[in-house]
Amino acid sequence: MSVPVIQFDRVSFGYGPTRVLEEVSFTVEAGQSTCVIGPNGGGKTTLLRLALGLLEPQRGEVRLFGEKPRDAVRRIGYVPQAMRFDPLFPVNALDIVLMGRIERVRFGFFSKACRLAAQAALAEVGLEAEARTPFANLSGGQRQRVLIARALASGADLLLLDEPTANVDLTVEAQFLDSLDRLRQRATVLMVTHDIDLISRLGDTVLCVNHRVHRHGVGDLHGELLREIFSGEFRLEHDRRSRHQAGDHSACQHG
Amino acid sequence: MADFITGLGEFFAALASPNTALLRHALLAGLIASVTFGIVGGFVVTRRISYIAAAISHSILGGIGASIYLSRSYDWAWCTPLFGSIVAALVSALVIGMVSLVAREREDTIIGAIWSTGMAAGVLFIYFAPGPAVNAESYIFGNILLTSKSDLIVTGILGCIVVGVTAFYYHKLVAVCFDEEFVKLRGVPAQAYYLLLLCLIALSVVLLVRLTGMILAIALLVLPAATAVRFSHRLWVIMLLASVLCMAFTTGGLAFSYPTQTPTGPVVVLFAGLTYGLSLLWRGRRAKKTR
Repeated sequence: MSVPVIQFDRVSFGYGPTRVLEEVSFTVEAGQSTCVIGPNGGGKTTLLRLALGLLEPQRGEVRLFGEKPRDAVRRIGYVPQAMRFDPLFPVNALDIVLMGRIERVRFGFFSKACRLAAQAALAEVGLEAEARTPFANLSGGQRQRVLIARALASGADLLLLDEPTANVDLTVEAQFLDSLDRLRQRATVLMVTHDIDLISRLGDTVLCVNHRVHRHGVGDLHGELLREIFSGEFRLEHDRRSRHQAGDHSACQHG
Repeated sequence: MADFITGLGEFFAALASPNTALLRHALLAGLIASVTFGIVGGFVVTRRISYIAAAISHSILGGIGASIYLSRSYDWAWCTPLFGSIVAALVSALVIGMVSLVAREREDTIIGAIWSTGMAAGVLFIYFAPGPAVNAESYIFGNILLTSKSDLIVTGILGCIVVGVTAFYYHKLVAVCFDEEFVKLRGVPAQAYYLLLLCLIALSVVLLVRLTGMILAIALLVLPAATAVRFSHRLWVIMLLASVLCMAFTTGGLAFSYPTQTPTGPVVVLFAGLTYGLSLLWRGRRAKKTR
């Protein structure tokens, strides 16, 4: 039997007296595309940071490829939210993608192989023409795709994405989703998202996180379940889209 | 005006004269140090940590004061103000870095604490130092025209260290400035590189304090790079442009202050400030036109 790519075994974590995750256990197998949803404060980001090895579980154990996250770190590609970065930082798209191979800098230089890999990763997200474009001049969606290319350039087997469609313009979203779709072909994907369209199109399974974790198939998601998960505190991205598009469809139709 | 032009002629004549070695030393020191300021200033401005550089420059008074006190009290001839400034600058940089990285203390609080306690310690050490009264003004306001041959050598050595280390670790330093967390996730010791960057800033500030004094030090680190940022989206171009600008400011400052008998440091800083202001206006007008 193959080793799971991600394995959480009775993991608990809290900040001070506040318990954020309680006895969380789940596995993600190779090639799966898993979406993480849940209300704000439910523990999605904490779960992601535990998987990245940026936080240590207070109880239980996290394993990536059968190893501690710290030991498997080079097999992980992390895609944070583009809005986290200083948009005026003076680098271009290629510079950022090359950072995916930063550990391979030798004597102050990237090798030719690194540059080729970075250019290939940019092509994979449809941005080969923007290699020399300053980060400041890219749109929100393009910036997010550059960060995906950076994760791809690292040659990661596991991609962890933090709300990849947050702040992405609806007009460029289709192209953006194509980029994400291609990711699934080559790596195991775990993404935190509020975007029901994204879940229905790219997710194999859904982890609903609200201090504890419940696994559902994408087809199991329906309005009642989502209301239960979010306890009425949270408006789904889908609702926003529905208002924008004035359509008459509910979240459950995407399940 | 005619007097000023005549004075400028005297300045260039003086540069060639064998009797004005100090002027040549000042110009050379300014030109060599400009490369350092341009490179490190690029990081400082784009990483938005100019207040760290300011805190380090003010804390240097503590190191200078301690070195004067110790050398006079215990006859430690090796404990020179330069040695004291390097130690104080590096310690301040590492304390600010470690406390903000490890202890997760608010960076602005640490900066304020290092800034004020460093100066306070310096004033007290100078007050209690035995022997003749110390002229703290020369450290606070600096005087590039007092650059000796040994100062020139030290400037060259510190400059080479800063330029060499930056060139060797350029990509990693840029990556740490852009996204420290991602660099850490690639198995690269990002925190160590951040501390290295702070140490490079500390060494540059030591050079700056010798040339312009601790009050004006931050200006030459920030203003040329802040001007250059408005004309390029590539960090290495910004560094290059900032170095050239800094060379122009120091040369222009010396050329202006020599015939007019004005303090060089403030003139250099005013040139830098004026150019930065003009760059803001020029870019602002261009942005309006393209709208």
